[in-house]
Amino acid sequence: MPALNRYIRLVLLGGMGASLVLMIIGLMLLAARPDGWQDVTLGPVEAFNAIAQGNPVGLIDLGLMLLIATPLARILVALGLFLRGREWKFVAVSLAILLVIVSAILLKIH
Amino acid sequence: MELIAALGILFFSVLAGALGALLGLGGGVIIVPALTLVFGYPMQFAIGASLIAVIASSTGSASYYVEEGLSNIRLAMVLETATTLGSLFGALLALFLQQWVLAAAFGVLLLYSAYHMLSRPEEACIVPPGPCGPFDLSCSYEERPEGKKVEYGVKNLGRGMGASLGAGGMAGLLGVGGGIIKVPVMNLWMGVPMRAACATSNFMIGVTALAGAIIYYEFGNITPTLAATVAVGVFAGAAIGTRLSGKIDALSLKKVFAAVMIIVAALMFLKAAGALP
Repeated sequence: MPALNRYIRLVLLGGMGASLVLMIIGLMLLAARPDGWQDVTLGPVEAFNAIAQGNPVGLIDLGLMLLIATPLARILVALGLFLRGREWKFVAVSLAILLVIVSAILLKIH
Repeated sequence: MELIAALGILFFSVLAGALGALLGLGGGVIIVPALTLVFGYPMQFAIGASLIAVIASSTGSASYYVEEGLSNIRLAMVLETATTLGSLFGALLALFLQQWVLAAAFGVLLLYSAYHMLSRPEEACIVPPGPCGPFDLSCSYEERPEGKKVEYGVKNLGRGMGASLGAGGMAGLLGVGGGIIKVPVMNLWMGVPMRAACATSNFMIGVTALAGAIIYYEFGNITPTLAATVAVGVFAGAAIGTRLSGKIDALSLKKVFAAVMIIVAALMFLKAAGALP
Protein backbone atom coordinates (compact mmCIF):
# COMPACT_ATOMS: atom_id res chain seq x y z
CA MET A 1 0.00 0.00 0.00
CA PRO A 2 1.40 3.49 -0.88
CA ALA A 3 2.42 5.68 2.09
CA LEU A 4 -0.36 8.18 1.30
CA ASN A 5 -3.04 5.48 1.55
CA ARG A 6 -1.42 3.86 4.60
CA TYR A 7 -1.20 7.06 6.70
CA ILE A 8 -4.63 8.36 5.67
CA ARG A 9 -6.20 5.00 6.56
CA LEU A 10 -4.55 5.13 10.01
CA VAL A 11 -5.84 8.68 10.62
CA LEU A 12 -9.39 7.73 9.57
CA LEU A 13 -9.45 4.56 11.67
CA GLY A 14 -7.91 6.25 14.73
CA GLY A 15 -10.20 9.30 14.59
CA MET A 16 -13.31 7.22 13.97
CA GLY A 17 -12.50 4.70 16.73
CA ALA A 18 -11.62 7.28 19.38
CA SER A 19 -14.63 9.50 18.63
CA LEU A 20 -17.05 6.55 18.64
CA VAL A 21 -15.73 5.31 22.00
CA LEU A 22 -16.12 8.78 23.55
CA MET A 23 -19.63 9.27 22.14
CA ILE A 24 -20.86 5.80 23.15
CA ILE A 25 -19.50 6.12 26.72
CA GLY A 26 -20.97 9.64 26.98
CA LEU A 27 -24.40 8.53 25.71
CA MET A 28 -24.47 5.54 28.08
CA LEU A 29 -23.52 7.69 31.07
CA LEU A 30 -26.14 10.25 30.06
CA ALA A 31 -28.84 7.57 29.76
CA ALA A 32 -27.97 6.37 33.28
CA ARG A 33 -28.43 9.83 34.81
CA PRO A 34 -31.70 10.51 36.62
CA ASP A 35 -32.00 14.08 35.24
CA GLY A 36 -32.31 12.76 31.69
CA TRP A 37 -30.97 14.12 28.41
CA GLN A 38 -29.59 17.59 27.93
CA ASP A 39 -29.82 19.32 24.56
CA VAL A 40 -27.06 21.85 25.09
CA THR A 41 -24.31 22.99 22.78
CA LEU A 42 -20.86 23.32 24.30
CA GLY A 43 -17.73 24.99 22.95
CA PRO A 44 -14.31 23.27 23.14
CA VAL A 45 -13.36 24.86 26.51
CA GLU A 46 -16.83 24.25 27.97
CA ALA A 47 -16.60 20.60 26.92
CA PHE A 48 -13.41 20.08 28.96
CA ASN A 49 -14.97 21.93 31.92
CA ALA A 50 -18.06 19.71 31.64
CA ILE A 51 -15.89 16.56 31.68
CA ALA A 52 -14.06 17.84 34.77
CA GLN A 53 -17.46 18.33 36.45
CA GLY A 54 -18.51 14.77 35.54
CA ASN A 55 -21.05 15.87 32.91
CA PRO A 56 -21.26 13.22 30.15
CA VAL A 57 -22.36 15.85 27.59
CA GLY A 58 -18.75 17.08 27.69
CA LEU A 59 -17.54 13.60 26.72
CA ILE A 60 -20.06 13.46 23.86
CA ASP A 61 -19.05 16.92 22.66
CA LEU A 62 -15.37 15.94 22.74
CA GLY A 63 -16.19 12.85 20.67
CA LEU A 64 -18.03 15.02 18.17
CA MET A 65 -15.14 17.46 17.91
CA LEU A 66 -12.76 14.55 17.36
CA LEU A 67 -15.04 13.19 14.63
CA ILE A 68 -15.23 16.60 12.94
CA ALA A 69 -11.43 16.95 13.22
CA THR A 70 -10.73 13.57 11.58
CA PRO A 71 -11.24 14.65 7.94
CA LEU A 72 -9.21 17.78 8.73
CA ALA A 73 -6.38 15.63 10.12
CA ARG A 74 -6.30 13.56 6.94
CA ILE A 75 -5.83 16.75 4.87
CA LEU A 76 -2.92 17.74 7.13
CA VAL A 77 -1.35 14.28 6.80
CA ALA A 78 -1.73 14.42 2.99
CA LEU A 79 -0.18 17.90 2.98
CA GLY A 80 2.82 16.63 4.96
CA LEU A 81 3.31 13.68 2.58
CA PHE A 82 2.96 15.87 -0.54
CA LEU A 83 5.55 18.28 0.94
CA ARG A 84 7.93 15.39 1.62
CA GLY A 85 7.46 14.11 -1.94
CA ARG A 86 7.82 17.65 -3.38
CA GLU A 87 4.48 17.30 -5.17
CA TRP A 88 3.96 21.06 -5.25
CA LYS A 89 0.69 21.03 -7.21
CA PHE A 90 -0.93 18.79 -4.60
CA VAL A 91 0.61 20.88 -1.80
CA ALA A 92 -1.29 23.82 -3.33
CA VAL A 93 -4.48 21.72 -3.57
CA SER A 94 -4.21 20.69 0.13
CA LEU A 95 -3.62 24.31 1.15
CA ALA A 96 -6.65 25.44 -0.87
CA ILE A 97 -8.90 22.95 0.98
CA LEU A 98 -7.43 24.05 4.32
CA LEU A 99 -8.06 27.68 3.37
CA VAL A 100 -11.78 26.98 2.84
CA ILE A 101 -12.03 25.10 6.16
CA VAL A 102 -10.15 27.79 8.08
CA SER A 103 -12.45 30.40 6.46
CA ALA A 104 -15.45 28.45 7.79
CA ILE A 105 -13.91 28.44 11.29
CA LEU A 106 -13.10 32.16 11.16
CA LEU A 107 -16.53 33.20 9.82
CA LYS A 108 -18.18 33.14 13.24
CA ILE A 109 -15.29 34.95 14.90
CA HIS A 110 -15.67 37.85 12.47
CA MET B 1 -34.75 15.22 24.14
CA GLU B 2 -36.41 12.49 26.17
CA LEU B 3 -34.80 9.07 26.52
CA ILE B 4 -37.65 7.43 24.60
CA ALA B 5 -37.21 9.92 21.74
CA ALA B 6 -33.47 9.24 21.80
CA LEU B 7 -34.15 5.51 21.36
CA GLY B 8 -36.50 6.28 18.46
CA ILE B 9 -33.84 8.47 16.82
CA LEU B 10 -31.26 5.70 17.37
CA PHE B 11 -33.62 3.24 15.63
CA PHE B 12 -34.06 5.47 12.56
CA SER B 13 -30.30 6.13 12.46
CA VAL B 14 -29.47 2.40 12.49
CA LEU B 15 -32.05 1.95 9.72
CA ALA B 16 -30.50 4.82 7.73
CA GLY B 17 -27.00 3.36 8.12
CA ALA B 18 -28.12 -0.15 7.13
CA LEU B 19 -30.14 0.99 4.10
CA GLY B 20 -27.30 3.34 3.13
CA ALA B 21 -24.84 0.45 3.06
CA LEU B 22 -27.29 -1.84 1.21
CA LEU B 23 -28.44 0.68 -1.41
CA GLY B 24 -25.36 2.88 -1.76
CA LEU B 25 -27.12 5.91 -0.28
CA GLY B 26 -25.98 8.47 2.21
CA GLY B 27 -28.05 8.27 5.38
CA GLY B 28 -29.13 11.91 5.02
CA VAL B 29 -32.17 11.13 2.86
CA ILE B 30 -33.60 9.10 5.76
CA ILE B 31 -32.30 11.03 8.77
CA VAL B 32 -33.43 14.53 7.79
CA PRO B 33 -37.09 13.57 7.07
CA ALA B 34 -37.21 11.33 10.18
CA LEU B 35 -35.93 14.10 12.47
CA THR B 36 -38.25 16.74 11.01
CA LEU B 37 -41.43 14.76 10.28
CA VAL B 38 -41.36 12.22 13.17
CA PHE B 39 -39.47 14.04 15.93
CA GLY B 40 -40.35 17.65 15.06
CA TYR B 41 -36.83 19.07 14.86
CA PRO B 42 -36.31 22.26 12.81
CA MET B 43 -34.74 21.61 9.38
CA GLN B 44 -31.41 23.25 10.32
CA PHE B 45 -30.96 20.98 13.37
CA ALA B 46 -31.85 17.90 11.33
CA ILE B 47 -29.39 18.90 8.60
CA GLY B 48 -26.65 19.61 11.16
CA ALA B 49 -27.10 16.17 12.77
CA SER B 50 -27.21 14.56 9.33
CA LEU B 51 -23.90 16.18 8.35
CA ILE B 52 -22.27 14.65 11.45
CA ALA B 53 -23.73 11.25 10.51
CA VAL B 54 -22.42 11.68 6.96
CA ILE B 55 -18.91 12.36 8.33
CA ALA B 56 -19.15 9.25 10.55
CA SER B 57 -20.30 6.89 7.80
CA SER B 58 -17.83 8.29 5.26
CA THR B 59 -14.90 8.09 7.70
CA GLY B 60 -15.76 4.49 8.55
CA SER B 61 -16.11 3.19 5.00
CA ALA B 62 -13.38 5.38 3.45
CA SER B 63 -10.71 3.64 5.54
CA TYR B 64 -11.67 0.35 3.82
CA TYR B 65 -11.71 1.87 0.32
CA VAL B 66 -8.33 3.55 0.92
CA GLU B 67 -6.84 0.23 2.05
CA GLU B 68 -8.21 -1.48 -1.10
CA GLY B 69 -6.78 1.33 -3.27
CA LEU B 70 -10.23 2.05 -4.72
CA SER B 71 -10.33 5.71 -3.66
CA ASN B 72 -8.40 7.97 -6.04
CA ILE B 73 -7.01 10.24 -3.31
CA ARG B 74 -5.41 12.80 -5.64
CA LEU B 75 -8.57 13.19 -7.75
CA ALA B 76 -10.66 13.41 -4.56
CA MET B 77 -8.50 16.20 -3.17
CA VAL B 78 -8.61 18.24 -6.38
CA LEU B 79 -12.42 17.97 -6.46
CA GLU B 80 -12.62 18.73 -2.73
CA THR B 81 -11.39 22.27 -3.41
CA ALA B 82 -14.79 22.75 -5.13
CA THR B 83 -17.00 20.61 -2.86
CA THR B 84 -15.78 22.30 0.36
CA LEU B 85 -16.42 25.73 -1.11
CA GLY B 86 -19.90 24.66 -2.22
CA SER B 87 -20.61 23.11 1.18
CA LEU B 88 -19.53 26.29 3.00
CA PHE B 89 -21.85 28.47 0.92
CA GLY B 90 -24.66 25.90 1.06
CA ALA B 91 -24.52 25.83 4.86
CA LEU B 92 -24.48 29.62 5.09
CA LEU B 93 -27.47 29.80 2.77
CA ALA B 94 -29.37 27.20 4.85
CA LEU B 95 -28.98 29.33 7.99
CA PHE B 96 -30.85 32.18 6.33
CA LEU B 97 -33.49 30.22 4.41
CA GLN B 98 -36.95 29.64 5.84
CA GLN B 99 -38.05 26.17 6.98
CA TRP B 100 -40.53 25.73 4.12
CA VAL B 101 -37.91 26.45 1.46
CA LEU B 102 -35.55 23.81 2.92
CA ALA B 103 -38.40 21.29 3.26
CA ALA B 104 -39.46 21.84 -0.37
CA ALA B 105 -35.84 21.58 -1.58
CA PHE B 106 -35.47 18.32 0.34
CA GLY B 107 -38.67 17.03 -1.25
CA VAL B 108 -37.19 17.69 -4.71
CA LEU B 109 -33.97 15.92 -3.66
CA LEU B 110 -35.97 12.86 -2.52
CA LEU B 111 -37.84 12.69 -5.84
CA TYR B 112 -34.56 12.89 -7.77
CA SER B 113 -33.03 10.21 -5.49
CA ALA B 114 -36.00 7.91 -6.18
CA TYR B 115 -35.64 8.46 -9.93
CA HIS B 116 -31.87 7.91 -9.72
CA MET B 117 -32.38 4.69 -7.77
CA LEU B 118 -34.80 3.25 -10.32
CA SER B 119 -32.94 4.35 -13.45
CA ARG B 120 -30.52 1.94 -15.08
CA PRO B 121 -26.89 2.87 -14.33
CA GLU B 122 -24.82 3.71 -17.40
CA GLU B 123 -21.17 2.67 -17.48
CA ALA B 124 -18.69 4.92 -19.25
CA CYS B 125 -15.58 3.88 -21.18
CA ILE B 126 -12.39 3.91 -19.13
CA VAL B 127 -9.88 6.63 -20.08
CA PRO B 128 -6.26 5.45 -20.53
CA PRO B 129 -3.78 6.81 -17.93
CA GLY B 130 -2.29 10.23 -18.73
CA PRO B 131 -2.28 13.87 -17.63
CA CYS B 132 -5.53 15.74 -17.04
CA GLY B 133 -5.10 19.52 -17.20
CA PRO B 134 -2.22 20.47 -14.88
CA PHE B 135 -2.43 17.21 -12.90
CA ASP B 136 -1.72 13.53 -13.42
CA LEU B 137 -4.71 11.94 -11.70
CA SER B 138 -4.22 8.44 -13.15
CA CYS B 139 -4.79 5.64 -10.69
CA SER B 140 -5.16 1.86 -10.55
CA TYR B 141 -6.81 -0.79 -8.40
CA GLU B 142 -7.18 -4.54 -8.35
CA GLU B 143 -10.49 -6.19 -9.25
CA ARG B 144 -11.44 -8.84 -6.69
CA PRO B 145 -11.47 -11.84 -6.83
CA GLU B 146 -9.82 -12.09 -10.28
CA GLY B 147 -6.87 -9.94 -9.22
CA LYS B 148 -6.99 -8.07 -12.55
CA LYS B 149 -5.33 -4.65 -12.38
CA VAL B 150 -7.51 -1.79 -13.69
CA GLU B 151 -5.54 1.31 -14.73
CA TYR B 152 -7.38 4.47 -15.69
CA GLY B 153 -6.90 8.18 -16.38
CA VAL B 154 -9.22 11.12 -15.82
CA LYS B 155 -10.69 13.63 -18.33
CA ASN B 156 -12.94 16.72 -18.24
CA LEU B 157 -11.61 18.07 -14.95
CA GLY B 158 -13.26 21.48 -15.46
CA ARG B 159 -16.74 19.99 -15.82
CA GLY B 160 -16.08 17.73 -12.86
CA MET B 161 -15.07 20.72 -10.72
CA GLY B 162 -18.26 22.58 -11.67
CA ALA B 163 -20.46 19.61 -10.77
CA SER B 164 -18.51 19.12 -7.53
CA LEU B 165 -19.25 22.71 -6.55
CA GLY B 166 -22.96 21.92 -6.98
CA ALA B 167 -22.68 18.63 -5.08
CA GLY B 168 -20.91 20.42 -2.22
CA GLY B 169 -23.60 23.09 -2.18
CA MET B 170 -26.26 20.40 -1.90
CA ALA B 171 -24.34 18.75 0.96
CA GLY B 172 -24.10 21.97 2.97
CA LEU B 173 -27.66 23.07 2.18
CA LEU B 174 -29.48 19.77 2.77
CA GLY B 175 -27.10 17.62 4.88
CA VAL B 176 -26.55 14.84 2.34
CA GLY B 177 -23.34 13.41 0.88
CA GLY B 178 -23.98 14.46 -2.71
CA GLY B 179 -22.97 11.08 -4.13
CA ILE B 180 -25.98 11.08 -6.49
CA ILE B 181 -24.27 13.92 -8.39
CA LYS B 182 -20.59 13.05 -7.93
CA VAL B 183 -20.68 9.35 -8.83
CA PRO B 184 -22.38 9.73 -12.26
CA VAL B 185 -20.27 12.82 -13.04
CA MET B 186 -17.01 11.03 -12.24
CA ASN B 187 -18.09 7.94 -14.16
CA LEU B 188 -19.82 9.41 -17.23
CA TRP B 189 -18.00 12.73 -17.69
CA MET B 190 -14.58 12.03 -16.21
CA GLY B 191 -14.14 8.38 -17.27
CA VAL B 192 -13.52 6.98 -13.78
CA PRO B 193 -14.60 3.31 -13.43
CA MET B 194 -17.83 2.96 -11.41
CA ARG B 195 -16.27 1.19 -8.40
CA ALA B 196 -13.52 3.79 -8.13
CA ALA B 197 -16.06 6.63 -8.61
CA CYS B 198 -18.20 5.32 -5.71
CA ALA B 199 -15.15 4.90 -3.45
CA THR B 200 -13.70 8.31 -4.38
CA SER B 201 -17.07 10.03 -3.81
CA ASN B 202 -17.35 8.33 -0.42
CA PHE B 203 -13.81 9.44 0.48
CA MET B 204 -14.66 13.06 -0.42
CA ILE B 205 -17.86 13.21 1.63
CA GLY B 206 -16.11 13.55 5.03
CA VAL B 207 -14.18 16.71 4.12
CA THR B 208 -17.12 18.14 2.14
CA ALA B 209 -19.52 17.69 5.07
CA LEU B 210 -16.88 19.07 7.46
CA ALA B 211 -16.96 22.54 5.84
CA GLY B 212 -20.74 22.70 6.26
CA ALA B 213 -20.76 21.07 9.71
CA ILE B 214 -18.38 23.74 11.08
CA ILE B 215 -20.91 26.43 10.10
CA TYR B 216 -23.86 24.55 11.68
CA TYR B 217 -21.76 23.88 14.83
CA GLU B 218 -20.64 27.50 15.17
CA PHE B 219 -24.16 28.83 14.81
CA GLY B 220 -25.55 26.43 17.45
CA ASN B 221 -27.42 24.10 15.09
CA ILE B 222 -25.61 20.95 16.22
CA THR B 223 -26.55 19.64 19.65
CA PRO B 224 -24.11 17.01 20.97
CA THR B 225 -26.68 14.48 22.20
CA LEU B 226 -28.73 14.48 18.99
CA ALA B 227 -25.72 14.46 16.66
CA ALA B 228 -23.90 11.73 18.64
CA THR B 229 -27.03 9.53 18.80
CA VAL B 230 -27.44 9.82 15.04
CA ALA B 231 -23.71 9.26 14.34
CA VAL B 232 -23.47 6.15 16.55
CA GLY B 233 -26.71 4.75 15.07
CA VAL B 234 -25.63 5.30 11.46
CA PHE B 235 -22.24 3.73 12.12
CA ALA B 236 -23.83 0.64 13.74
CA GLY B 237 -26.40 0.44 10.93
CA ALA B 238 -23.70 0.61 8.26
CA ALA B 239 -21.90 -2.31 9.91
CA ILE B 240 -25.16 -4.33 9.90
CA GLY B 241 -25.96 -3.34 6.30
CA THR B 242 -22.51 -4.37 5.08
CA ARG B 243 -23.00 -7.83 6.61
CA LEU B 244 -26.50 -8.14 5.10
CA SER B 245 -25.40 -7.17 1.58
CA GLY B 246 -25.49 -10.18 -0.68
CA LYS B 247 -28.12 -11.85 1.51
CA ILE B 248 -30.90 -9.43 0.54
CA ASP B 249 -32.32 -8.81 -2.94
CA ALA B 250 -31.02 -5.26 -3.42
CA LEU B 251 -33.12 -4.65 -6.57
CA SER B 252 -36.45 -5.34 -4.82
CA LEU B 253 -35.30 -3.29 -1.83
CA LYS B 254 -34.44 -0.40 -4.18
CA LYS B 255 -37.95 -0.45 -5.68
CA VAL B 256 -39.62 -0.49 -2.25
CA PHE B 257 -37.36 2.24 -0.93
CA ALA B 258 -37.88 4.42 -4.03
CA ALA B 259 -41.64 4.20 -3.38
CA VAL B 260 -41.07 5.15 0.29
CA MET B 261 -38.95 8.13 -0.83
CA ILE B 262 -41.74 9.37 -3.11
CA ILE B 263 -44.21 9.20 -0.18
CA VAL B 264 -41.75 11.00 2.13
CA ALA B 265 -41.17 13.63 -0.58
CA ALA B 266 -44.94 14.24 -0.64
CA LEU B 267 -44.88 14.66 3.17
CA MET B 268 -41.99 17.13 2.88
CA PHE B 269 -44.01 19.15 0.33
CA LEU B 270 -46.99 19.10 2.71
CA LYS B 271 -44.69 20.34 5.49
CA ALA B 272 -43.40 23.07 3.17
CA ALA B 273 -47.00 24.08 2.45
CA GLY B 274 -47.74 24.27 6.19
CA ALA B 275 -50.18 21.33 6.15
CA LEU B 276 -47.97 19.37 8.60
CA PRO B 277 -46.52 20.62 11.90
